[in-house]
Amino acid sequence: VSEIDYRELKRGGVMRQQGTDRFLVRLHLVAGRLSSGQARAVAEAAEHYGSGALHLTSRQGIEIPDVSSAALTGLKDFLAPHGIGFGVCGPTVRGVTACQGCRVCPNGVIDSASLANEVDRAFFGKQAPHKFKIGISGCANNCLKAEENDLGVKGWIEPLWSGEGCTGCGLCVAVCPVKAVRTVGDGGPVEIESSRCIGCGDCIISCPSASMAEKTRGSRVFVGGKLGRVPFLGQPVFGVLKSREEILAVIAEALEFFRLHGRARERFGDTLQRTGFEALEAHVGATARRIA
Amino acid sequence: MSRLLDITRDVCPMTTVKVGMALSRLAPAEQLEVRVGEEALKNVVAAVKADGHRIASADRRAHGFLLIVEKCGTGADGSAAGGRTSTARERSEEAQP
Repeated sequence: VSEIDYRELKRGGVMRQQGTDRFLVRLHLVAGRLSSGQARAVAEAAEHYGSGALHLTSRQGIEIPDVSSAALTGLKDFLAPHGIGFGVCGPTVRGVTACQGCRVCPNGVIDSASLANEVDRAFFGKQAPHKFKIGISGCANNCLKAEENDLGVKGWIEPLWSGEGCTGCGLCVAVCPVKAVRTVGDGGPVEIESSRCIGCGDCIISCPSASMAEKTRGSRVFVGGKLGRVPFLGQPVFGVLKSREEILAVIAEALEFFRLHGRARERFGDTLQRTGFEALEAHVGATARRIA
Repeated sequence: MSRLLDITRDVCPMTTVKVGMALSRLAPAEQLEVRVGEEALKNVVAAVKADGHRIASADRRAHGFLLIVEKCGTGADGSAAGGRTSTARERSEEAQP
């Protein structure tokens, strides 16, 4: 056991338990989703290779505690045919969290679950200066807490007031939870303060005419969020992204920016507070211009 | 002639349930006046629109809003009336990404 490189094991999702020679094995799940067959396989693995205990993690994952070093390879080989690998820990892109999204949830704006699969395929386990957590919320209700992640994605509906058919009833003003919508004068034109808007779309669903409509349906990206010892809420960057390709490109660029400017063991939010959030936007803008 | 329904003292989901029941008793093109507080406003308007009815007018009052809802529902021949707005689910089918 002394020959084992514990740090290397940890990077591969295997953590030594305090005061024992047993290990906690983190599994690689995406958005907390698994089939019933996979769930049975995990249960069987915990009984056979661990002590029968399982742990549901704070990021929609599953861990199997009490695994001996001799059982690690067997556990890996047992789970592999079921499409379940070991997770990661250490300075890497962690398991992607996501809500059910628009295929299941009546509030969903984007298909968070399938987006999570794509993000996972592209970035899971990639190296970074520190841990890098990605979370996806399907709408403004934000069940998966986009701002708590190093990079969070949130479904977003950007409203546009055309004025056509508007009776000046003021329902949009009354329902806006952040007072981003207001009428100029009594029943006059409606203005939307985009920096306040949270993209919930309430002004659109409450409009009796169609004068308040969807300008863009997509996602916004929040960067630099973390909890831990010193919590910090992720800040929105860029406008509303319409396509999945744009989201994946922004994540790739954010990771590159982090690798370029982040110090070892420094969270993304600390890097961004040091460089300024606009430095990331400038970096992505420069890349976009290079490609164009 | 329109009827008046006061739901200012109700909480969700009774607000939308009461509006739905009141509308079901009306004939197409008849109107219902609804006194609604700010808290239930969004859900009531969204439900009325999703059920295919029309908000003919909305006026701010001391208690919140006075809505005039026009029943658009099913006609005598069983065909659904037009003007139904798409639901969140329908919209999400074509949602990007």
